[in-house]
Order: sequence, then structure tokens, then C-alpha cells
Amino acid sequence: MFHEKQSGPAAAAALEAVGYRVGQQLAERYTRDKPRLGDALEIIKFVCKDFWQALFKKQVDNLKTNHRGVYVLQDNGFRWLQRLSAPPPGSDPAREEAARQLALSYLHLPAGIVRGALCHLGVSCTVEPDPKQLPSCTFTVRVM
Amino acid sequence: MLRGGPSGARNPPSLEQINAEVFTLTYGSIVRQLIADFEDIEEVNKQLEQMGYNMGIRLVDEFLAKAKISRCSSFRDTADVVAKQALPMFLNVSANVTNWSPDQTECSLVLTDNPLADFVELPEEYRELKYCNVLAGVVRGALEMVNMDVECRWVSDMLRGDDCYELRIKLKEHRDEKFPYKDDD
Amino acid sequence: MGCFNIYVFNRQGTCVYYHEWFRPKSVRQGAGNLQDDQKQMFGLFWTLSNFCATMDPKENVGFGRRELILNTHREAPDLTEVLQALYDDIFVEYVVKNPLYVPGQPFQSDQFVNALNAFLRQNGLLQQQQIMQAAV
Repeated sequence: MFHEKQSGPAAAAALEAVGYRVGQQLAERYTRDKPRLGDALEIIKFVCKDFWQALFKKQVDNLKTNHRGVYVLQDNGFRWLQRLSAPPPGSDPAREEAARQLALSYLHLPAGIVRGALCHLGVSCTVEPDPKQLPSCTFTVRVM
Repeated sequence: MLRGGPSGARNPPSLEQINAEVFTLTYGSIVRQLIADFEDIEEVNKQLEQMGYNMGIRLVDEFLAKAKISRCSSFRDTADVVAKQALPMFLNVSANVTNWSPDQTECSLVLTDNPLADFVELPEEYRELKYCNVLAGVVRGALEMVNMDVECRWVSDMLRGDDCYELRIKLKEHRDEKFPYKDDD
Repeated sequence: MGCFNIYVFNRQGTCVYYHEWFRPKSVRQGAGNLQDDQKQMFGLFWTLSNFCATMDPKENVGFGRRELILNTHREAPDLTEVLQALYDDIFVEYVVKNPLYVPGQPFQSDQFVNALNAFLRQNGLLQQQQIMQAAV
């Protein structure tokens, strides 16, 4: 249900790498019976719908794009953050920042999975996770 | 005071599940990452066991909350509960408990199916890798929380060509509960 | 009618969580300080459970213990199931599954507090003004 790894500066990169491989493998499996996906938007939509559904039992709640290669995927109740306790609104900024950093450390793995899946389907990109208001979060995809 | 007793008509709380492929692939990927990071198979085995231990000491509460078991009165019962209830709950497989030592302090959990190792082939150079060692840690951690100190080691592994997975569990100490404070405290 | 306070003890007898909604007589008039109060409460329940184990004709080896003690008004009904549910649905869900929780250590979690209050209210053990009182 949750995996633990020693923390440290290298941990984020390691988790991202772990996710990346998983994303590639999953993308391969889930597109097995599908016709070839076309452009970047179609691939991203596939990730938001089918892929998200298989992973997190729901779809991405909101997809925004600037039509110049930046896509923002927003999930308003991200499953892997459900049990992190958010500080009450209006509390001390230092505490909010600490909670944000903590939540962020739980997003390296899924961000890696998303990047792995997209890259495997032909969209090379970077993925930047951002925990907004727990348990919601966004993943910003920048196509390279 | 709460123990996992039967609890009347309440609906059993549902157990959240994760997609099995995601689970298996993620575990595989973590193992690969550990191999890359530590470059030493013995160290990887140790890390996997430690990760499992950290899971076990938490999973035990989840298990007691969801399983509705009555008390285990002996190590023998406990081993059965692990094999027949805990493993099915968390790994969706059950195990057989065999090879009891005459003094009832050592036994084996035998699995013929192990979702952790789906899709896995172990290359020759990683023969010493105990791929499923996380499970040994989980069992050790969980049992420690119910006052049983155990030692777990894999004696057979299908990834290494054996015909089953066999986890040997040895009971080192069954701790009694002691009153934690001194009289004059 | 409702609850007065709650204690959660770990296996070493340390109180890892304490919350009070309503305590008409202050701790100073009892044990003196909160720490001693918690220790005495643990001792009381330890003795009770040992006594029960001694009386029990069956040979039972104890499970590791986690103790939740909820002090309620004397008119409250049998709360066995409520306590069980408190552990199953609230403690395990919101404390054990919080990644920050280190087993056996004191914890703080707003999610847990909110769920606990909601749960007790749902079971008729907490009135709105009690929460307000505790918050002041």
C-alpha cells in the first residue's frame, strides 16, 4: 500500500526513476489492444482517462493546456495523498510549507510513472508535481 | 481495550486495493533501483528486509482491524493466521504451514504462487538476491508487534529454480507483557 | 451526555494521544499533573486486564496490546462496538495510514481529530457545544 525508502537528496531522483520504469511498462500493457494513438493531446487524454483509472480508480479531474506544449493535469482527490493530514487553513506558513514538502516527496513516484508512460507513448516531456491543497495536486507536463 | 474480537453487526470496513500490475511492477522497479544504488546484493537483501519490517509494524494494525480474528493462543495458531488470513488479505495468496520442528518453535510458510515475483526472471549474476525478502521483513515486523520475536529466512525460491517459495520462521522469544513502570515511579 | 476524554496508550504504556472534551474536575485536584494522570489510568486498566486474565479459566496468551480508553457519561450505553469501530475505522484509517505516523510514538493529525469528533457525534456521544468548549 505504501513503499518506504530512505530519504535524502537522492531519494527523489531514485523514486522518479522507479516510477519511470513502471510507467513505461504499464503504458505498454494498457495500450496492447488499442489502435495507435495520434498526437500529443490524444496521448495525454489517454493518460488522464484510461491510465489514471487503472492506477488510481478515477480519472483526472481537470486538464488545462496553453496549446504550446504545456499541460496541467489536476486531481482533486489524489489517492496516494489521502491520508496525509493537512494543516488547517490559515495556520502558520512554516507548517504549511513543511506539509507541502512532505506531500511533494510522495509525488515523485507518480510523477515518474506519468513521465514514463508519456515518453513510452512518444511524448518526451518533463513532469513537475505540485501538491496544492491536500489531497488535491497537479502534474505539469512540458513537452520537449 | 481492543483486541481483534468479533464485533456484531457492523459492516466490515473495506480494504483498499491497488492494481496488481502496478504493485508488482513497482516492487520490481524498486528492487532494480536498490541494486543500482547499492551495487551489493547482500545490502539489497538487507534493505528489502528493513522496508518489509517498516511495513509489517504498520500492517499489523490494519490486519487486526479488518480480520476479525479472535486471540491467537500459540505460535502455531499465529502461523496459521499469517498463512490463511494475512497473506490472502494483503497479497491475495494463501500459504501452507509445514515442517514444524519438534519443539513447535520453527515452521515453514510454503507458497506456490507469489504475485511479487510475477513477470520476474532472475539473471545469473543476481543469484544471491532474495527477491521477495520484503515479505520476510513484513512477517518479522508484524509478529514483533504481537510480542513474538521471530527470525525469517528464505530456504526455497522459485526464482532460483526451486519448486516453491519457502519462508522459514523461527520463534526466538515469546515475550510476556510486563508492567512498564516501576513501583516507585 | 457524552464523552469526557480519550487516552490512547502504546504497548509500553506511554500515552501517545490524549484529548479532553469536558473535564469538570481539573487534573490538579486528582493526580496532580497530566503525566501522572495518564500513568494512573494505564495502571488501573493494566490491573483490570490482569485480573480478568487470572480469572479466565482458559489458558490464553495475550496479544500485543493497544489500549483506547474513552471516558463517558455513566448513562452511555454499552460501547464495545463503538470502541472497536473507533480502532478499526478511525485509528487505523487516519493514524496508522498517515505516512508520518511512527508506530508507538505520540502523534498529531488533524484528520484524525476531525474524524474522531465526527464519529463520536454520529454515535451521539458528543454535542456540538462540547467541541466548542474544548476549542476555547
